[in-house]
Amino acid sequence: MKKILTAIIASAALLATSCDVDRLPYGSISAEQVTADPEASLDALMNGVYAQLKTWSDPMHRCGEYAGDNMMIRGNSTDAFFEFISFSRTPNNYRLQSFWDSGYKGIAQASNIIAMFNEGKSVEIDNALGECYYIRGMLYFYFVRAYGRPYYQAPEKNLGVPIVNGTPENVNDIAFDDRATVEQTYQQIVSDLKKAEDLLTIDKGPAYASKGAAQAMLSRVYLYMSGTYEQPNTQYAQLAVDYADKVINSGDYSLVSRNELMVYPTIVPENNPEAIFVVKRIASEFSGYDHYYGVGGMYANIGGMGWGEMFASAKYIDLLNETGRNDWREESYYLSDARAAFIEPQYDYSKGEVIRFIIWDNATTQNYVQLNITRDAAGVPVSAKETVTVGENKETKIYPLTAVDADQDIYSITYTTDYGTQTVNGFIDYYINLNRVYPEFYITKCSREGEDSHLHSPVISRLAEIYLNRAEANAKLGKYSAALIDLNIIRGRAIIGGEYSSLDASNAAERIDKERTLELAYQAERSYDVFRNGGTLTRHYPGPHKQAEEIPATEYRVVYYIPQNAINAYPGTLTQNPTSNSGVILH
Amino acid sequence: MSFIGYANSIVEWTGEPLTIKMTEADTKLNEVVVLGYTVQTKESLTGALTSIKNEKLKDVTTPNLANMLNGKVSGVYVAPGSGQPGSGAAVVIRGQASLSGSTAPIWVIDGVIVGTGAGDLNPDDVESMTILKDVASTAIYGSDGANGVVVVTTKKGKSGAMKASASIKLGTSNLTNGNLEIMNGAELYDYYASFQNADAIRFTRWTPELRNDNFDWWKLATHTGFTQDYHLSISGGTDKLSSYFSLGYYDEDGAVKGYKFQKYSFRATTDYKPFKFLSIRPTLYGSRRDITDRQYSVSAMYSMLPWDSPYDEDGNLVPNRYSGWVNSQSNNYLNDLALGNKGTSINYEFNGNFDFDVQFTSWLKWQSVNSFRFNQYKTHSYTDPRSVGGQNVDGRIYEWSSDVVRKSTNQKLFFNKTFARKHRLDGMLAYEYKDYKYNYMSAQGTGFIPGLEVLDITAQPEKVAGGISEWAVESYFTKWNYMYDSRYLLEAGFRRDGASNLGKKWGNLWSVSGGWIINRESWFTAPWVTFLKLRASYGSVGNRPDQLYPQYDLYRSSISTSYNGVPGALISQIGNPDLTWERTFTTGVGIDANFFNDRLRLNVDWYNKATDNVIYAVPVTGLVGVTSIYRNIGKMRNRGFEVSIGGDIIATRDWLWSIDANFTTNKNELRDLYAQKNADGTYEVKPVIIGDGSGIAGSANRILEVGRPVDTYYIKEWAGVNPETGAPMWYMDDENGNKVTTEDYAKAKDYKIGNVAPDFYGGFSTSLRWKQLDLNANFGFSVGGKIFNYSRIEYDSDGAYTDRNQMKLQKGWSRWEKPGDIATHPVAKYNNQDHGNYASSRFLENGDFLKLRSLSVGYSFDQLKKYGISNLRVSLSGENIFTVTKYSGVDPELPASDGKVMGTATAVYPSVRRFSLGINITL
Repeated sequence: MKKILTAIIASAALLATSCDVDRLPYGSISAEQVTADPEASLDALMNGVYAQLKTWSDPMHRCGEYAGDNMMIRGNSTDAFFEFISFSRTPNNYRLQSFWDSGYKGIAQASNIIAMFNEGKSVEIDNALGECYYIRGMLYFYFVRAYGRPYYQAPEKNLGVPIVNGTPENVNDIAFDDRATVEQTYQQIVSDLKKAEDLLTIDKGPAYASKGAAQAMLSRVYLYMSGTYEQPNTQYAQLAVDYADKVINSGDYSLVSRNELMVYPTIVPENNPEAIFVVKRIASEFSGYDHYYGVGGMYANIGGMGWGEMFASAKYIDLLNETGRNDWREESYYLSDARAAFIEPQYDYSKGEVIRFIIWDNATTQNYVQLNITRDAAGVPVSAKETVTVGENKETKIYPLTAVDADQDIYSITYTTDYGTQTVNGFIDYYINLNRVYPEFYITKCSREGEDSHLHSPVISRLAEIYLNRAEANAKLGKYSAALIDLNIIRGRAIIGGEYSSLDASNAAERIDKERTLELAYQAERSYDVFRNGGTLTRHYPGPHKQAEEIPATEYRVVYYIPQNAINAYPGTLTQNPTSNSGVILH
Repeated sequence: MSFIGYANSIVEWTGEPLTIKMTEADTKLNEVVVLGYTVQTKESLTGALTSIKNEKLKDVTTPNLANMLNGKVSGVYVAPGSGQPGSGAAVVIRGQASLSGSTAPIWVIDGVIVGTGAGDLNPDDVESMTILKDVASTAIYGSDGANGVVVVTTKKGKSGAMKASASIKLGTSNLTNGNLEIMNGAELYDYYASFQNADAIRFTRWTPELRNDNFDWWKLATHTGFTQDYHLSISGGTDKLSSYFSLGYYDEDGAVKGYKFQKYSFRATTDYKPFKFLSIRPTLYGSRRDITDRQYSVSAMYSMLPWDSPYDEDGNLVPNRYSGWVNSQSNNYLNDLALGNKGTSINYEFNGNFDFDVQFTSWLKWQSVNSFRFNQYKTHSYTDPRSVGGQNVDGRIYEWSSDVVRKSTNQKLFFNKTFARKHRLDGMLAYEYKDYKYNYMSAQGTGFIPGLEVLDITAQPEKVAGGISEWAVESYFTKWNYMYDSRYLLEAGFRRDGASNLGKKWGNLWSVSGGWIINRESWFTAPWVTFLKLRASYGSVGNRPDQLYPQYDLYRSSISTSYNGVPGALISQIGNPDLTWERTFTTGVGIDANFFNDRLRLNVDWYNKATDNVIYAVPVTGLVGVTSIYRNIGKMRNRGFEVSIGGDIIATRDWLWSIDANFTTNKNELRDLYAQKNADGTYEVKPVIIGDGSGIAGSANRILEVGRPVDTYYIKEWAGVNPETGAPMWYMDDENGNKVTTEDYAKAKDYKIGNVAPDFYGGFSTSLRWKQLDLNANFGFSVGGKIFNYSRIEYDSDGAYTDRNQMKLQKGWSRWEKPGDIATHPVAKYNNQDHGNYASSRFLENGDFLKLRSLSVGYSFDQLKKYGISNLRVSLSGENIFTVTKYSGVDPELPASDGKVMGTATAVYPSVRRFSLGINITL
């Protein structure tokens, strides 16, 4: 018995020692493995930085575009992005948090790579370092324009973002400085981008950072620093011109033709001579219902995918129509402005012809109305009819139509609401499906890249912007004729015969700003473009936002709050942006 | 001697002198209780635990064992599965003791830890369940024990004549909507017409005729569900060899059309004693679960406007985003169903045990339990090329396959010895190793010709995924029980665990406990007290984190870290090499008492669970590349009081009427959380705002604040309706700190209002038997818990949501219509933008309820021996008969979601009322 017992205890002990309770992850790489041989890991780390831009580009777009006046939403939404549209700013917003965290993650990894290597080892490594400097500078720039006040407003006093470059050794025991000033943040951006310009020698196409991308970004950064039209900073305006020159004169990029412009979003960036830097997305990254949750999914429903709940604003459509009606009707399709091709009204031809116009519901609210029309024997629209309920009875009201511009099918109608009787112009068109009460003017500029889905590589820089940067900078320098040339290159491409004959101090700001709106819409530029030049955001068009509200560049809400969680987790003081106009520093 | 769950062992027990004495004194207390690793007589226990026998479990029709615990055990909170067939429950014992880790107890089946659920074990194969609640009984489970332990003992063969049993249960199920009523076409029309700005309603169909349009989406999607449950078992044997063999089949067709659940199971266990000192017990168990999901849309039952019919005048389906619908943004989900979209899943579960005992001497035994458990889960989904989800990719076929392998072995040496007649010592020395490996793979392909359903036919691969995760735990433990003169009990346990998913791998946990059987004292002279025991315990148990690799610095590589189709690596985790498990120190005292010859039974327990080292993903500044690091940072306390009381009010030869009740209170309090740096450089523990677990943006928040329960709501406080304007109002603090009302939601302040967990809850049951006829009723109740009824944000929206149907005003609710109205509901407007329906305490409702969970009547025919039938029982039962509640949603007992208790009611599968007929035959 004793023998058996000994044997059992011995075998139990053997069993005990043979069991190992160490388990390592299968789906992640240990940090030691990465740092042990940095050169072997470089490619993976670089792709990681670029990949981070994919995550970052989603909130980046929403923060930049939704706060502008190119789009409207079909109704109130409980989604965090509604605060971007409604300007009811709160510091607890998960999309804002995601913008912050994902951007800084990119900055951290780019900085860690920079810290791992010495310059001068090889062209490839130097180029990789240049890519890291570009991405870091670019990310800081996108941060400072969202969280920091416009540069023209006391940049040495207002706060930008914290400058922390990389993962510290011991994250449990760190102390960070407060936000750098706007000025200091721009210095960091300029220094990073110039460093990138020096180190970048290899052109790997628009999906990767290049010398041209660094110069393009520098031209925009200096433009942001160049003050307002009223009080320009000529030194920075000149630098914006200089860097735009470098890009344009490099010959590496060229503008696509008008016809190609009309299908711009469908061209894959590699085949697009105008693309300077994009965050490249590929089809295999999306499956199932993924496309619902991207930027394009909010703007349209394509191939069954997407909410299609945000539409082009009436203001933007009016801007497109300024040089003549853009007619999206199948049988009479004609676009006066090539950029109207990115707007796709969702016609329901079965509901017949309508006149569509905008009226005032009350002193602060405008709305769309679509009424079926009747044509006379000659085919001329004569009246619109509407069925209304009076008590228990249905009544048909007939409204006569008066031709305003019969060639373009523009007619006026006199219509009565609670707010009174109004005579307004409308388009004879087909019925556009409504989402709630809003006609669906789908936006497809963030969709359809190479396939019929919401695939889209968010655009960071493209050549058209550089021309507009140069036009604006030259205008600020008083060089209106030079500015006019660039402005007309962009305008003339989109609108046949749309070139301006002249440009001067009286109209330069308005014309350049308008062109920038038209050209760079849905590229997350608009809200920043309004405020950086001291403008006022007006959104007097149908939608659930406060239509009467005007937001001047001096308002506290033109910048986003620093996410409260970021403040709470910060090792040190992280100052919040002013929560009322009284806290805003302008001078 | 005792084997786990081994009935025969009782015979051997009685061989001991001491036990013989007890047997004479009281047979009930001589019952053995299976504690997983050990078996003890009921009287020798020093811990708080509750055993339930099979017949007490089976009043619920479900294939899921955890559902059966609901309301039956004090200290055990069960969020039941939803009405969807096969839906599983969530169990929390003695309060939530973790912030980010599991709060589910571990389940031990026949001595083997199988994880946080019983898997697909057939409830008919269960002999009994024992719920171990306090440290005296759970400490031996070490780092698995903090959330309590559910010990399941399955049925075994017994020596004696062969016994064959069959049971059949056939039932119907229908949906109930509780207090919730949604509008029909006319009601919705009248509601719209009552909008203050009704003239702003401008959709084409807005005419009086619309009032007559009514389609019942509820009726469309529902029917009477049907459940069949069959179980067949054969058992018997000799002193040397006994076996139990069973087959089971469960089939349920859901009350929402198009969902079918089927389960097949078998179990075979044998006890073979080739020699006097050796006993070998192989067990084999297997099950297969099939789900076919072509379920009609539950959300459409509530959300679709009654004005919009899925059919046109000719009875054909209208297209998706149909322009003839008022809500032309909706898809007609019947189209996708008609095209054959579906999901199916199959789950296989196998468990093989090879256990044996070697009796060396009368006082020394070696017991070996060795188990291999295999689980395979496969899903398949078909998205037709013409359906909404398939049209842009020409259809999609998706396959998922995962398997879990759990290996477990424990080797235990048992000692027991009685010295000088009065000193009895039981001991155990043990080693255990267990590991877990999960492996999954999925693939989806797109582009195919409708009709076929394998990946081979797809034109393009769309996505592949796969992964492995693992953990392993090694343990050494020992436990000693000492009993003096059958009066004084002392117990001590110690366990040393090493786990793969911790920075500090090894740690120790221990417990001491004692008991005093007072009625055995010579001075005790109250003959009406049959049994009286005082218990006390103190000790520690652990809870391992859910994260498997939190101690390592890691870079992630996946499709999201790849760029332009080329792989990339992205910093993903800064590890914590000091991370260790959450540890709970529990103090417990209790009384077990039986009076009047066991006619009245009482158990009372008080406990204090102090948990420290609570793991939390502590936020770090995102500037360093990660946003959080796992740390042992929090402290938490759960204090509670549990009472179980039962009595046989009438006990005669023909009559037996007994009542059992249980009652639980638990108070949770957060005691510590991580410190945050202040502007002046000092550190301070500040409240942390977290979500409510619903995952919905715009739902309620909760707050983690020291001194408050961890499930405290933190939301705007509803201040009612302005009687003059009908505007919604909330509270805010003015400059002087006074609470004032505001009509601006953005200005309203978040307040701490209520928490999810009830103040007290429990159940009571009564059983009445007259000769062969019996009647059983089982009630459950809960008081003091708060439910955030998120659904009302969308369905009680005062006109803010015009793309979905709305709920009717309930009793006691009123709508503001004109100045002076004192109303519960603000003025209704089309496209209402007053934000009255935004998350606030307006929708925070009392979850109090009293439920008649089940009512059954049965008759046992015992005069059928001449036909070879030893027992035939026929019963009729109803489940979820009624609920008394003021809660405005479907059911205040919110179903578990993903194994977790919920406090926020989102779109739910309605609850189900069942009626069934059961027949049990034993030959």
